[in-house]
Amino acid sequence: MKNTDCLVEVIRAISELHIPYMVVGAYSSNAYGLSRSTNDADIVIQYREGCLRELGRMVGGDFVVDPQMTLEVRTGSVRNVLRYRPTGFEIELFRLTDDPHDQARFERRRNVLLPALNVEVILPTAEDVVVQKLRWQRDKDLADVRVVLEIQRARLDWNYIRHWTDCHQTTHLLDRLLKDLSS
Amino acid sequence: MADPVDPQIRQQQRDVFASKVERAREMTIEQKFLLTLQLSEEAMEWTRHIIQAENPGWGPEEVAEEIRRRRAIQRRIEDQGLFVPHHEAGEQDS
Repeated sequence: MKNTDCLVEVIRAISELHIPYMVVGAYSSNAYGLSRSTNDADIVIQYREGCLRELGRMVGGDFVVDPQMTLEVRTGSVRNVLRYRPTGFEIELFRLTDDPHDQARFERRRNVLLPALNVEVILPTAEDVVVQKLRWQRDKDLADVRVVLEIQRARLDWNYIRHWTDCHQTTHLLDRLLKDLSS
Repeated sequence: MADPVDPQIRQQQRDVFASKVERAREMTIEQKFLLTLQLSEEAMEWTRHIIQAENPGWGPEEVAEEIRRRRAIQRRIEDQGLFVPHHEAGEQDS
């Protein structure tokens, strides 16, 4: 099974298990920016007790959930890694938290139909991709934000973005990227 | 502070970026999602071929394990300061 099929299978299984989710990370920023390759897929799930076991059972024995969990320090989200053993492809599963922006972006998520793959995926909005990536601030996050800002600039809800960047104290970073883009 | 990059090269960078942005604006979300899948697939395939070429005796499982090892290193670097190990009892669900 190719990595594309892995991702589609996991998304279908999550949907069938009625686990609310959204695809985040590079797949979401690429949807609003420029396509670049990525080594894994990131999915935020509304965790409920036992749902990872159910997911593991549904996708089959070639997938394994890494026993090592990590905690994202900004929002407190727990991350599990689901790996497809034959190829090493990994899907990072983040648990939805009570963090106000995590909740807000989950509320605003949108469905996108992918007829070519016969699947519907759920993505955060472009505004929430910008806000989240400004919050994480890794090199690749800032590079992604720069591109999303340039491509989506006229369509973005700037009041919404600035509300959250003020809350997260990242407005200076946003302004610096905007200034770089206009120079 | 003065830009250390040659002005001509800087202009070329801007032109390339502008052209990529123009093309991306004409694509749908679905097209970009599919392109991401394709690019990622090709990148992974390329890595797999390189690892196989460097280790001719390896089978698919050893190649997959090497990819996992490299990904773990990359994740450790990218996670620095943003993720910490989580050891809370009772949270494991696998």
